[in-house]
Amino acid sequence: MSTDLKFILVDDDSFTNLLHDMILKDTLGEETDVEAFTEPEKGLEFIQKKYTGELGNTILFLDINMPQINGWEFLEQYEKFSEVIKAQINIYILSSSLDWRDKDKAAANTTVNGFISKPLDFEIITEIAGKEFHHSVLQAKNGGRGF
Amino acid sequence: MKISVRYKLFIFAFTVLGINMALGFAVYKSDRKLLDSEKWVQHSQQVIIQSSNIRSLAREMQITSRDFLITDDSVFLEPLNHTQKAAFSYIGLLKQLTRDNPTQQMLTDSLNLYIHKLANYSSKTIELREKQGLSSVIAYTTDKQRKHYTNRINQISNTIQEREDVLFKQRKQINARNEIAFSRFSLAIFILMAGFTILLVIVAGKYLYQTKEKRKQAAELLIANDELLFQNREKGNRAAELLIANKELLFQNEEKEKRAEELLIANKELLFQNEEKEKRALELTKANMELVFQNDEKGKRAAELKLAEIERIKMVDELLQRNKELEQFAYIVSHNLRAPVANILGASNALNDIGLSTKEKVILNKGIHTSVIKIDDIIHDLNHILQVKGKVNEVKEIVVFSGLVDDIKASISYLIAKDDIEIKYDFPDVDEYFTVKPYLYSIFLNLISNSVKYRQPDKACTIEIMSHRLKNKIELIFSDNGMGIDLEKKGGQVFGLYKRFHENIEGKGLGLFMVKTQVETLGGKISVKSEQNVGTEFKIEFEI
Repeated sequence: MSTDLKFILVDDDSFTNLLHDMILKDTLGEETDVEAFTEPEKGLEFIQKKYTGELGNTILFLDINMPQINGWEFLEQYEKFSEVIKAQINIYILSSSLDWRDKDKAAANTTVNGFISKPLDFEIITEIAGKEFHHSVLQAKNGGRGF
Repeated sequence: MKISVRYKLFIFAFTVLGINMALGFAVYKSDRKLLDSEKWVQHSQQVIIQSSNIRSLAREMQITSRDFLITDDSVFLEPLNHTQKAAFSYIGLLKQLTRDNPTQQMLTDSLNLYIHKLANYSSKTIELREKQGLSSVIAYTTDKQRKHYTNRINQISNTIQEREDVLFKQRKQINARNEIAFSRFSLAIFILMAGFTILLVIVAGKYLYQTKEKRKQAAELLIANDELLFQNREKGNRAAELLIANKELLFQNEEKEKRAEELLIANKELLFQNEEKEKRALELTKANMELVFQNDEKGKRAAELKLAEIERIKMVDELLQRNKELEQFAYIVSHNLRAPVANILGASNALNDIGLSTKEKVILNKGIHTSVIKIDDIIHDLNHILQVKGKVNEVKEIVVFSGLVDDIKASISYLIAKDDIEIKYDFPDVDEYFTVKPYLYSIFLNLISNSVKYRQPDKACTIEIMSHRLKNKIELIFSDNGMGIDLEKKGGQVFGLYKRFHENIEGKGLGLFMVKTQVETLGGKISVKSEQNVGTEFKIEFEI
């Protein structure tokens, strides 16, 4: 099954990206559009390139602890993008951190929609997708596989 | 005596005054007499003048009447009358003048008679001239009566004049004599008066002077007397005072003797007390010295305490810093441990899914394995770090820098050979340091391999190591021409645990963290300067 919902994963750990890609597709269907980046700059480039037109609603899972550019720096760059781009993308911090300071920081950032602790799982994905697509997604979910 | 002299003087003065008055009166009298004689002289002169006047008037009468008689001009009548009147008035005057002289009076009477007769004759002739004319007059006058009268008048007036002239001369003689006598007399009188007056003045002056002197002397005597009296009184007083003073002295002497005895006793007492005081002073000096010593000790202790306080504050700061570092360490470790754990969790969850393909299962299993290895690595790192942090008291030895670099060069010779890498060193000031060798080796190795790892791919890699001796420290500088780090962005994280700055180069973010930990364990400091695509320079300072 297919929805208009798209996903972007930004995490320096390739296995994490692979794992999350599998979990997303397993939850929302094989056709789910998931783009994964181990280098944040490449993720930013991709967004700038692809999201000039109407590409549809996208959820971006962003890791914090990365070399070169960390999650916060990624957000700083992202904030400079046009409103057209930003209207299409909802960013969630997806971190292995359990530290309350990181959660507070994410809550304080208006660009960030929420803070999620790794790993992604069925419940979290359905909840977030539900927030973004309400019933349509929930209905679509009935045809998919569950964990 | 005083009074009698004054009286005498008064009497004398009055006498002189009286004499002078008498003399003045005599002069006055004599002057009157002289005036009288002068009057008589003048009187005689008057008589002579009047008589001559009458004579000339008689002639005038004769002439004027004759003139009329000849001319019958009434003009001549007026002066005739006038002359007649004047003649009569002169006669009156002469009579008055000569009333003191019976002879002259008689003569004047006779003169008067003839003047009358002459006047009558004139009147008769005038009458005749007016009534009968000149011829009758001439007839009438033939008798020469008029001539007779005139002669008589001349005779009489001459007689009067002569007589009076004799008198005049006599009187003048008398007057001259009187004048001489008066002048002599008045001169004598003047001399006398002057003499008396001078005498009086002298006597009075002398008296006055004497009186003054006497008075002065008397006054002086009075003063001297008073002075003597006063002195006497004073002497009396002084004598009385001396008596009292004497008594007082006697009393005082007794008192002094008593006091001297007392003082002797008191002196002995004082001597005793002084000895006591000296003893006490010695004791006090000792005590004082003790106190000074104690104070010094206290000062030292205070200084020590101050130093200890400073040391304590320093230590507290250090501890706080260390605590912060440990917190950060714990945070990083937990964060880094959590990442592979999360992967394992996710993968194992996925593996439970029935619908996974074999390929997917293989991938997940591989992933789990990698994550577990990662966890193991981290635990090893932790062990390593804790080992370094814990072993502060490692054995120290003299480490030669050049030898250390040579060893490292040898150990990574395969890397150096593979790439174009040059490691230069220059330790002219200081080539050795007393320290923990394995740590210093680790520091050098980490920094060199870092430079190799982050060299610029298209450039020959040059690493330079130098040492400097500063005032009280050694400075080690590692510089390269590598990729560099953006310190503006990452400055705070250069030495952070698991901090990496280059995406495509293998690394755990442990090397620089270990370098910093080891440098600090050896009591040193590390700092970094870097510019992207130019190079990096690390500076390590060790205190000597």
